[in-house]
Parts: sequence; C-alpha cells; structure tokens
Amino acid sequence: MTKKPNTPPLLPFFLALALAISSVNPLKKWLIFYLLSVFLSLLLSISPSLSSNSEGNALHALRSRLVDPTNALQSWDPALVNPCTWFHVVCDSNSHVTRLDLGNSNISGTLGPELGQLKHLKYLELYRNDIGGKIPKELGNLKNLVSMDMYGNKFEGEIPKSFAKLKSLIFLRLNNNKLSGSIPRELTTLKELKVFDVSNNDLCGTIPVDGPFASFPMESFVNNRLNGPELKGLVPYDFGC
Amino acid sequence: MALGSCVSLQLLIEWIVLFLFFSEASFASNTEAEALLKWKDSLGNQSILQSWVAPENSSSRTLSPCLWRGITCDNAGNVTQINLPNVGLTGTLQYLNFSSLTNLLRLDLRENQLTGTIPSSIGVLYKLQYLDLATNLVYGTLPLSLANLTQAYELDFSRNNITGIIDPRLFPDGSAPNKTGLVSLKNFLLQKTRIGGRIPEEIGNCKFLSLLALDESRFYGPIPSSLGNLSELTVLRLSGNLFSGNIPPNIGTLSKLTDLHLLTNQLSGFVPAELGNLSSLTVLHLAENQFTGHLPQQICQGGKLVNFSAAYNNFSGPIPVSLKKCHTLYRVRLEHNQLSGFLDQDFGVYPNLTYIDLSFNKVRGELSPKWGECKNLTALRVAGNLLGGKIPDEVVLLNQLRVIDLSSNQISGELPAQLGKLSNLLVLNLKDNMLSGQVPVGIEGLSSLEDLDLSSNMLSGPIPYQIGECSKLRFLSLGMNSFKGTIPYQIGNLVGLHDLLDLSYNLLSGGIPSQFAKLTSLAQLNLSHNKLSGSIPASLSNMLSLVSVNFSHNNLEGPLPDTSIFQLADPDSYSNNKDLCGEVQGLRRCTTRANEKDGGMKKSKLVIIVASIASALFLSLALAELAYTMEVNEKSDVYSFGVLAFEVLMGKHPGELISYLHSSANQEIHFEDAPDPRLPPPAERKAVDLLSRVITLARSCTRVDPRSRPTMRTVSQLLEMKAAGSE
Repeated sequence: MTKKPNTPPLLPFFLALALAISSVNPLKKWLIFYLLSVFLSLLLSISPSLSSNSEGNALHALRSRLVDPTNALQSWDPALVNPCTWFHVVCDSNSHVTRLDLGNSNISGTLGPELGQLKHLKYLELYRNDIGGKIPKELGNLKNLVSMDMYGNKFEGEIPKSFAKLKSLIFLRLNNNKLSGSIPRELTTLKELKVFDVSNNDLCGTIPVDGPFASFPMESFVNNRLNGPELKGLVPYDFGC
Repeated sequence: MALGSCVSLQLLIEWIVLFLFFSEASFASNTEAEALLKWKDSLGNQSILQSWVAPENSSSRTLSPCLWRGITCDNAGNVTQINLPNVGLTGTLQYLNFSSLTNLLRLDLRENQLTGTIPSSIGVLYKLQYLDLATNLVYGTLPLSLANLTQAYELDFSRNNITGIIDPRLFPDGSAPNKTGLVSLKNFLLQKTRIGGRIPEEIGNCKFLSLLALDESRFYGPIPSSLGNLSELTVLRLSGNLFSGNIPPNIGTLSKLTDLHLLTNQLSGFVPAELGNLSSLTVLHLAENQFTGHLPQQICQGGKLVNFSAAYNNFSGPIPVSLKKCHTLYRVRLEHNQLSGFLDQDFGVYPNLTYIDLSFNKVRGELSPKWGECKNLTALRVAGNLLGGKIPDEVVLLNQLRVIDLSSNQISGELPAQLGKLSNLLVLNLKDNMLSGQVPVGIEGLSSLEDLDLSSNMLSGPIPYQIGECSKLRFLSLGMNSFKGTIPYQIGNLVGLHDLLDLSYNLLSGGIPSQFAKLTSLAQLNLSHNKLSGSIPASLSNMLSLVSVNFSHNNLEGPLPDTSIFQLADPDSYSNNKDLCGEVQGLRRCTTRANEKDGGMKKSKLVIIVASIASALFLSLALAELAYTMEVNEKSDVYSFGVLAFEVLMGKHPGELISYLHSSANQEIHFEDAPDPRLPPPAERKAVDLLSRVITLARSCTRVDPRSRPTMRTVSQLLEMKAAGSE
C-alpha cells in the first residue's frame, strides 16, 4: 500500500524547450530560457499529496464544528496516521475515505467547507440529526458521491447550484429541513439521479421537468411553497420566488 | 566647603560611572532594539507588535526592548528570547538583522504566516539553543550556516515549504574536536516538508540526538546504519517517506528508544530480530511496507509495548511469542499479511486493548473466553482467517465493542444467547462461517446496531420479530441460511434501512409483508430463492428509494406494483415464480380476469354469443344505411341543382314556389310564372321557350322522391339537346 508521488509531465516540456531554443534568435533565447526555467521550478514544486491525513484533518475540522453529546465521534483520533480505523468512517484499499455514516447520531452544530476535500467520498450520510446552518457549496466538489442524505435536520439557505457537479449522484435526499430558495435547474443534468426528495422544506419557484426530474413522483416535492411543474416558454420558471 | 565639594565630586563621579554603565548596556539594547524595529517595519501592519515602539523624545541611549511583547532579556539587558508563536505574523525574516541579536538563546516563531527563505545570516546566532519556525510558509533550502549553531539543541522546521536536501556538512564530521556542525542537537524536526534526498550518515555524529522526526517529507534511500550509534535516541519517526532497503540491525541497540515509526515507506527484507532488544519500546509501526519473513519474536520483551502495527506487508510465520504476556497492548494492527498462529494460544489478556485487527492472515484456533477480559475492546476484527471453534459467550461482556468482524472463517456453533447485551455494537459481521442454531431472542438489545450481516451460514429457525426493534439498522443481510417460517412484518418498522435488505436463499414462506411499504429509504431489496407466496403487495409502490429488486425463485403471483422501479426491472428479478404478471419481458400481461375462477368460464361464453348477434345486427343495419345514404347523397346533389337553377332564373331562392309546383298537377310551367322582377321580360319567343324548359328541368330535379329525380347525366344531356335545338 505504498504511495508513489506523481511525476510532472517533463517530456513534453523538454521538447518544447528544445524547439524554442533552436528556432529563435540569440536575443530572445535568453528570455525564453528564463521563462521556461521559472516554469520548470514551478512544475517541480507542485507536490503530490502523500498521505491521506489531509482527509483526517478535514474530518477533524468537521468534528470541531459538531456538537456530539453521545460521543459518536469519540474514536476520531487525529493523532492516528489516517482516519480509516475511526468508527463511522469507511475507507477504500488506498486509505481514502469513501463513507461517512453519521445518520441518527444526535449530532448538532454546523457543517464546514472542509468536507469538500474528501474527494473519494461516495456516501455522505448525515440524516436525522439536528445539524443547522447552510449546506456548504464545497460539497459540490465530491465528484465520486453516489448518495447524499441530509434529510431530517435543520439545514437552511439554498440548495447549492454546485450540486450539478455531482455527476455520479444517485440518491439526493434533503427532505425535512428548512431549505429555501428554488430548486436549481442545473440539477437536471444529473443523469444518474434516481431518488430525489426535497419534501417538507420552504422551497419556492417551480419544479424542474427535464432529465431525471421527469420521473420523480410528486411526493418528492410536497410541503413546500412550490408553484407546480415548470411551464416551459410560458412563465419564467422561478416566479414568486 | 571642602567636604561639600568632595561629596559633590563623588556624586558626580558616581553619576558618571552609572551613566557610562547604563549607557553601555542600553547601547547594546539600542542596536538590538533598532534591529527589531527595522524588522517590524518590514513586516507591514502587525497589531501584535504594537508594544514595539521607540518613545517620541527619547535619545537612542534609553531605548530598551525588554518590555516589548514576546521579548525577554537577561540581567544585562540583552535580548535573549523572541517568543511570538501563533500571533498572525506575516512577512519574512529578510530584514531581521541577526548580527545585532547575537545574544539570542531562543527564537520561537512557530504557527505564523511567515514566508520567504531562512536567511543565511541566521548562522551568526552562535549562542542559539532553540529555533522553532514550524508551521509557516517558509520556502527555499536549509542554509549551510545552520552548521554554526553549535549550541542548538532543538531545531524545528516542520510544516513549511522548505525544499532541497539535508547537507551532510550540517552535522559534525566525527573528527575531534568538532568545530562546526550541530553538535548539541537533541531534537531535530522536519515533518511535512518538501525536503528530500538521503539522510547523511554523518547524522550519527550528533551524539545527543534524542528526537529525530522526518515524517511525511520526501526522503529516500536507506535508513543510515549510523543511527544505531545514537545511544540517546528515544523517538525515531521516518513514516511517510520513500525509504528503502532494510532496517539496520544495530537499531536494536538503542536501549532508550521508545517510538520507532517506519510506517508507509518502501522498506523491505526481514525485520531484524534485534528489535526485540529494544527494552523501552512502546510504539512500533512497521505497517505499509514490503517486509517479508517473521515478526521479531521478542518485540514486547521490555513489557512496555502499547502500539504495534505491521499491517499491509508480507510477514509470515508465527505471532510473536512475547505478545502473549504483553499486557500493555492498546492497539494492534497486523491485518493483510500471511501470519499463522493460534488465536487462543498466542494471545493473552489485555485490559487496555481497544483495537485489534488480525484480518486476512492465516490464523487458526478459536476465540478464547479470555477475550472477555479485554474490557476496553472497541473493535475485534479477525476476518478472513482460518478460525474454528465457537464464539464464546464471554464476548457479550465486552460492552464497549463497536465492531465485531469475524467474517470468512470456519466458526461454528451458535450465536451467544445474550448477544443482545452488546448495546454499543455498531457493526456485527459474521458472514461466511458455519454458524448454526437460531438467532437469539433478545436481539433487540442491539440498539445501536447499524450493520448486521449473518449471511452465508447455517442459521435456522424463524427470523425473530424482535429484530424490528433494532431501529438503527441500515444494512441487514440474512441471506444464504436456512431461515424458515414467515417474514416478520415488524421488519417494516426498520425505517432506517438504507442500503440493503437481503433475505435471499432461505426457506421463508408466507407472504411479503405489506408493511415493507414503510421502508421508504431502502435502495436494494432481495427476497429471491425462498418459498414466498401470494402477491407482491401493491403498497410496495411506496418504496420510493428502491433502485434494485429481486423476487425471483419464489411462488409469487399477481400484478407487480405500478411504480417504474418494479415495471422497469430486469426480467431476472421476477423469473421462476408462480404467476406474476406485468409489463416486463417474460411475464404475461395482466388483464381484468386476473382472478380466474370456474364461473368465469361460463360467463365469458355467454358474452361472446350475445356480442356476436349484436354485431351481426349492427353490421346489417349499417350496410343498409350505407346503401341508402349513397343513393340519397347523389340525388340530393340533383335537388340542389334544381334549386340553384330556380335561383338563377328568379333572382331569389324559390322557397314556397317549389312546394306549389309539387302540389300542382301541371307538368308544364311557363317562365312567366316565375320571372326575376329585376330583369326585363325576354322579348323573343325562343328565349321564353328555352327558359321554360329549364324551369321544367329544374322542377323535375326538385321532386320530393329522390328516385324520380333525373341523374345529373340526364340533366346535362337534356341541356345540351336544348342548347343544340335552339340554334
């Protein structure tokens, strides 16, 4: 399970360097050489992330924002080399966090942007707690996410438009919160989305009808201030919002 | 008078002496103060350095920095310490004039946002004992002038962007006397930097080195064997680098070594048995390398080992014998190797043990009752081994357990009757063993349980309904067993079921509980390969989160629930049942005769007969109507022609004239009877004649009986003859 650092793409760089030097007059040669060497040193200074402790740091930062009266997060020891032995956390064979299972854990507090650093996360399960505040837009960076369950909390603010980047998402359940604003049209691009529930919130505007939204049942939208399905071409889609 | 002048002279001399004394002292302080102020100015606006000011009207002789924040002086007024950790400093060290601060003993600037390089001039701080620049944004390389800090006992440059290598000349060269090099070094920390290259063998000349922490940087090459000479070494941390080759055996001579961290490198070969001589060892991390051979057998000889990891290597051979009496063990991770040994014989009692993972080895034996004395155990993972025997009842005493994973072994016997006592258990994975007997009543005591996997065993008896009280269950798999009886409807209470409900490959009979409709978060449902009968309850259309279903190989019949997940499922989801119907390939379509009984057959025959007669009648009437309609249609066109002809001649709709003409017996009429009053009467007799004949024609066209009207062909022939005749 050793980690190999990423090598920067040096071959094309040297090719470009050779070409540049051979084809330019002496005056410009030095300028190009200088610029290219600056570029090279920048390239070499880009460091690959060697350890998954950055994911442990992200989870540790999350823990400091949460209030955990039942000590569900007791095993979250940041001194350990990675979070893979922490309870409620599951990693893959490369020690990257793939699951965060904190549903039904009596947790309150808020979320922060650091959750977006868990690049290999597939399951974000925070349902049925008392977490408040806004849903961080950084969650849109979780491009491997398959399931996001934040239902049954006190989340407020809008559904982030950045969720349109969650191209692998199958389950998105945000029901039973205090979310407001409209359902972002951008979510219609999520081709894999099969289960979508925003019922019991304070959403307004109209319900998208494109893409996967064509098949979601009406139960997914009840108990909001939504104005029914989007009327294409006739009414601007978020009127009254 | 003379006395007075003596006294005053004495006083004057005293004042002069004092003045000179203090001025010399403050003179020294003044250049230090100036250096500090110059540095402060270069940093920009730093509110934390508010106290660093030169009073307005002071002469340079009275400027003392000793009361400034973070500054400590000695009795002579020299600045000996600058302590400014975690105060938000930005800027660089570029303009800190070290040559004016040569009395510095301690420079602590950790946890700020300083950038820039470490100036080479830092080497003039010949008295410096302690230098901490950790957790900043400093870059560049380590200046060679650091070798002049011969008094420095602690250097910490961790968590910066420093690059380059460790130059061997930083260390004493081993010749006596050592004139340069970090001879006094005790604590050397370069954690999480971008420094790479090899560790110079010369490091072995730092005789007092106690803590060497190079974790998570970019070092490669071998672990220098000269480290074995560092008899004062207590902590050696080399984790997270690219070190390769063997562990030098003389590391085993370091009798004061407490922490040896070699985790996550590319080390290989055998681990020297000499490591067993490390009598002070408390932490040994060998995990995530490419070691082979045996684990050092005397690893806990000193009786102090607390943390031991060797996971993810190629270790083979026995569990170290010294582990049996290693009562201090707190965390043990040996998973993913090829270790053999016996679980009951090679391990003892560990009152402090919280985590043990021996998964994916070749360990035999059984879980002995002694494990019940490991009261602080939170995780017991021995999956994927060759364990036999039974699960001892004593396991239920471990009420701190959160995870039990004994999957993929050959454990037999029954589940402990008091399993329900493990109220903190989150995960119970006993999949793929040879467990028999029933699931114990009392299982509802597992009130925290989120994952339950008992699949692939030989469990029998009913599924206890009490399982419906394990309200936190997310994942439930009981497949591949011999469970009998019906599916308890109480499973519908497990509204937290999210990932999977798998009861497949059992002997379950009866119906599918309609209460499953409450499982609105469930994604996958597998009830295949049972003896379930009846229909799939229509209420299951409520299970809005389902993405995968499998009902195949049962005795189910009836229509599928009408949501798309059921209607669009793979045909394999329903194969080999009694009579399921729906819009799925391989299933018959459902009709209203879904419930076929004997009376239905007779009824349907009667309906066919009546329908046939009615159809025949209807057809014949329709055909007659059609024939009639066709004739009528053509003759009504003729009628219209007649009316039109009248209109042209009369200049208006004929209206009542037509009925008069029909009632009158006269066959012939004359034009005079119906002239257009707007036109002058025709003069010639021929025209009148012609027009009269047209009227006669028009009249015959407007007869009541359509069959007595001429056809249009006749009309056109007659008109042509009349026209011809008139010429």
